[in-house]
Amino acid sequence: MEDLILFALLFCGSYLIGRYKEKKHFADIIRREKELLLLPALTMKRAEDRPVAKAEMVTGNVVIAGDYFKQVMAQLASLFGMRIAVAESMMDRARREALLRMKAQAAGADAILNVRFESMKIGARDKVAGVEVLAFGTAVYYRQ
Amino acid sequence: MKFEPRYAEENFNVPEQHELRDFFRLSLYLLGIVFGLYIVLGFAAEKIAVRLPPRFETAIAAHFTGKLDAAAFPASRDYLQQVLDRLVKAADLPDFQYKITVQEQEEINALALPAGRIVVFSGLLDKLRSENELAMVLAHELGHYAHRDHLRGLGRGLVLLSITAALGLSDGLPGFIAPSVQTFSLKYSREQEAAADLYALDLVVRAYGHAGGTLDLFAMFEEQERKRPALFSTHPDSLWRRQNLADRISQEGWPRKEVKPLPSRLPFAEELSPAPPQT
Repeated sequence: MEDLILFALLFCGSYLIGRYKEKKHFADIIRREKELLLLPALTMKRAEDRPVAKAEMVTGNVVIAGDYFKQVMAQLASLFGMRIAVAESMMDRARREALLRMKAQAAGADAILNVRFESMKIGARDKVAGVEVLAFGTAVYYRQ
Repeated sequence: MKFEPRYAEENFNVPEQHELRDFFRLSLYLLGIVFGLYIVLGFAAEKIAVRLPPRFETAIAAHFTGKLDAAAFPASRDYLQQVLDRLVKAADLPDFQYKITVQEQEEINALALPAGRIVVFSGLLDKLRSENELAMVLAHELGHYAHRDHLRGLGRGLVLLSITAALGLSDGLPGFIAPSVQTFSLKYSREQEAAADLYALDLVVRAYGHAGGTLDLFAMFEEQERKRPALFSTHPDSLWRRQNLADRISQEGWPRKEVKPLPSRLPFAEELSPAPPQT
């Protein structure tokens, strides 16, 4: 019985808190993305045919934890071979947050070229414990 | 190539989510599968278990009855064993060595473990008032052997254990599923208990020549049930059991003679460890 109560508490608690946090984070991401919209982050290695004054590597890194609710949902989904929707939103948040942090580091640049993402799972092997996403690219400053 | 800033308002990577709805849907699927497996495999295990030859059962049982403390309460155990032997002689039972083990536990209960090992808790002994009541308890457990109930329960228990282990439920995940299956298996044993009661009554009458004292046992259970209702959840309502047996006694016209007193209060006083503080 105690197990059940503990489960219910953890489950409901992490669902409510996790959902609130995720909503807030998405709102924040969207606001910052609009602010940084004028700084392009591209996957191309060369964008404009202009002389480059300065180039530097910029990185953005983020780690997001998966809550208890997400873990339960992921295990359930893995029993039935379904999309793990809760992990999709978590990964999306992590990638966009990493990109934003990279852009923040490249403030003043004209563009970020050759942008790449790397992600890694953190924590226990069979759990959605957390993800790390690293975004990196080359910030270029063109000669005026 | 010119860069045109444009913000994509829609997020295609994260489709709209119905997390809670998904959760309930998947949990229902899972519960359905677990129950289905439990019923099908449990049925199969039951069929197989009931046909296990006694020799094979003895070999399996050795694994888990070995952990019991056979030396506890030696004097009480010897006395219980005498009563049991008398009953076994009068009965037609599977070919086991029927042996008593007394365990120190508050619980008012006795268990029929595989291969004829009967466990009686000291909490039950403490409440008995006559040898006939004791005989009724032991005969009830013998009834489980006669009907092979102890194996049915075991087969189902093993199936339940394997399913939960296979799904990794023992790790806590949807921890709500295992308890709900368990409640189901508690209910399952009620008819078997009633059948064992009737068997026990017949056997006690055969061994002692009368039905005196058999109903007193259930009167005691009723009293305990009022005090601590949760303890008796695996057994049918004692009032109902007592009436069932009373009907049977009057139907058969069995006499109810003087009961045979216990040699002393059980378990024997010299075997009792200092009483734990009352809580």
